[in-house]
Amino acid sequence: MIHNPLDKMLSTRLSRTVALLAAVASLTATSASAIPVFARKYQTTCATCHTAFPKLNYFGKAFKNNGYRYPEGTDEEMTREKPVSLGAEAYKKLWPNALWPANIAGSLPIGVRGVMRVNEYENSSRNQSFEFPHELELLAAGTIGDTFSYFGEVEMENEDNVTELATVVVLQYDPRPDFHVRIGEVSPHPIADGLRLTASHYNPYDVRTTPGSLNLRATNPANPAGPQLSISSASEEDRWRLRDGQAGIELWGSRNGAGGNGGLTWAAGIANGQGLNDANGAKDVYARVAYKFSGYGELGGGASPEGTEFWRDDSFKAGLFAYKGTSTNVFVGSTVALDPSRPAGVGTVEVEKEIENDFDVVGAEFDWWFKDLNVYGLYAQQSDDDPRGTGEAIDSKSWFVEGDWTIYPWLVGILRYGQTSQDFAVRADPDTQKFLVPAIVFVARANVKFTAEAQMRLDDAGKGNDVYVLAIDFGF
Amino acid sequence: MKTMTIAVLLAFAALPLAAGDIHGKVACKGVRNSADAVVYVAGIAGKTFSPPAAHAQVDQKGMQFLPHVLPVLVGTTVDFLNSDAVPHNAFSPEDCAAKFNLGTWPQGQSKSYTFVKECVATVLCNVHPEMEGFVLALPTSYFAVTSADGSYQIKDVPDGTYTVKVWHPKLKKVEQSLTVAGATEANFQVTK
Repeated sequence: MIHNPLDKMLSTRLSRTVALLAAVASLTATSASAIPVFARKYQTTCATCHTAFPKLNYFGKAFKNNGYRYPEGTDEEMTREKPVSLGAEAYKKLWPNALWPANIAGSLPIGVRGVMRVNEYENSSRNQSFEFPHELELLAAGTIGDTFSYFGEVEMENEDNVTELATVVVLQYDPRPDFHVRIGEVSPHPIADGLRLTASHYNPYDVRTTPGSLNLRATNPANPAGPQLSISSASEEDRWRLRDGQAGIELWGSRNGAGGNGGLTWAAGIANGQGLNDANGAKDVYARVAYKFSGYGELGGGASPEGTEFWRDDSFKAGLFAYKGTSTNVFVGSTVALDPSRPAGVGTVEVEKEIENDFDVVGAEFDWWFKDLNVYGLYAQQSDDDPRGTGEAIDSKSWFVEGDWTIYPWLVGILRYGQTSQDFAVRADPDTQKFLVPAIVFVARANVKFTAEAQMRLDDAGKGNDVYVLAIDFGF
Repeated sequence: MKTMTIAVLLAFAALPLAAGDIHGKVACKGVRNSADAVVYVAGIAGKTFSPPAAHAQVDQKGMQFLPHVLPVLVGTTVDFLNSDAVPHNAFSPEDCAAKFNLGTWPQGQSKSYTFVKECVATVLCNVHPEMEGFVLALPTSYFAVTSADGSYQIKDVPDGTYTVKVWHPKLKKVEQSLTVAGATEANFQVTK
């Protein structure tokens, strides 16, 4: 398809505008964070639920598993902030001739989280930067009566000097602790990426189903019988990865194990896969299950954690997960080429290729707590049947292990190592990328945290691109 | 001598039976505090109680039913006063209270209802669905409502053996047999 240069210029501007809007829309937050609203509601410290925020401790997990409620039916007793009634309990007797009663928080349930970073790049092409702010989050969460809960987030994040906006809304039906229905943003990955202590993400969650760009072939109008033109193309649709939160519906639940210790957690969901306006008509599905041996009950209860310190919970958890989906990406590119058929002698050659790739991810996770040490990790194997539109199937393997050592309640040492092996050039990187992330977390106050972190690449292609980050994180 | 003996016996007969009280604490688990539990003596076979001539009162003030929980003897008339500057209504969805609906009335006025049956009557205001109160029409006049720390005292209970019940708006009922001999302590725990 050939157009004149003016058409091309307009087309390019339009494409850039669309691409920018798409980038804004596609920034995906994950609904897992420290939520100061609950500190106010229960008049308690962040450390009730977090080791070092946003990482959850044993109680924080039980609180979440109970649908953002205190365990063992004690939520009303522990709520210090008087809720606003939306109808007396007795109206349940009058249903369907009356509204079912509920209540909401007594004050505006919004908290704020701010993140600032100082970034130092080993690669001399980038300057040291004061990224103030890196991120600002408005967080809302709470319960609506006995059987609904909600989570909302507006996240503004700096991405190369462009402030990107993401929103999360979740409404959850909580008829029983072992059965919840979550509608809105869902997170198919098993270890919550949003609860990590480091700035860097878990590497298995960054494996995408399709490459960032493709070189597509087109007939050369100046020499139709000769070699084809190679035109770089890009896709405006989300390129799927496990890390991103998705629009979907999830059924999930938890149950205590024998004696009230440990227990089972499970989830199964259906999701768009690629953004709020899905890129195809197929829905992705996923499931995960995990069992925790010993330790505090998944729903609360059981033996008190070792030494009753808030960061301890001697236990071992193992789980499996699976994801199956279809990613669709339309790669579009163009170039200016000599064209004798045009009056000016030049024209634009455009190419377009739709890639529909069926893929699945299976994997396992573990989470081991022993006194002041927590070691956890994940292995994922991703199989793409046609990620480049060539008919070639591709497998990717990735894993990581992280150790968090609580030296003092306010000082946590972190060491993470991970590998990602891909046998196709999604990135201009080697087949196996090796990540090392040492970090130290200083919790100055329960709601103010400083993290010094190195994001290192140990593979040859990644050398020279280490990043050093000092992150300042606070919430109120 | 015989006359004197008869006179003494008659004098003792004229005295009321020995009476004490029932006191103690109700621990309410799963709610914010231990207020609003009603501790009462269940019906006593062969013994009836006359309802008081004076009306009991529930005030609708500050968009609340005050008191939140009101125990009365069966047959008692309760006046529902509106002390707010907005109209209020009072109705009950309970059959035992004949699902009464007293209509809507303005500040300073009250409407009455007589609880003729034993009943745990939820009282609601259809103008303000968040308002909720409870009137317990009980078979005896031996009752008390707990304070926030769960303490209660039922005065002037004749010595004897009774069934004592505990009711709470949100918790399960409990009951136990209790022998009263003077000041008698009875503690309870109610849970969800």
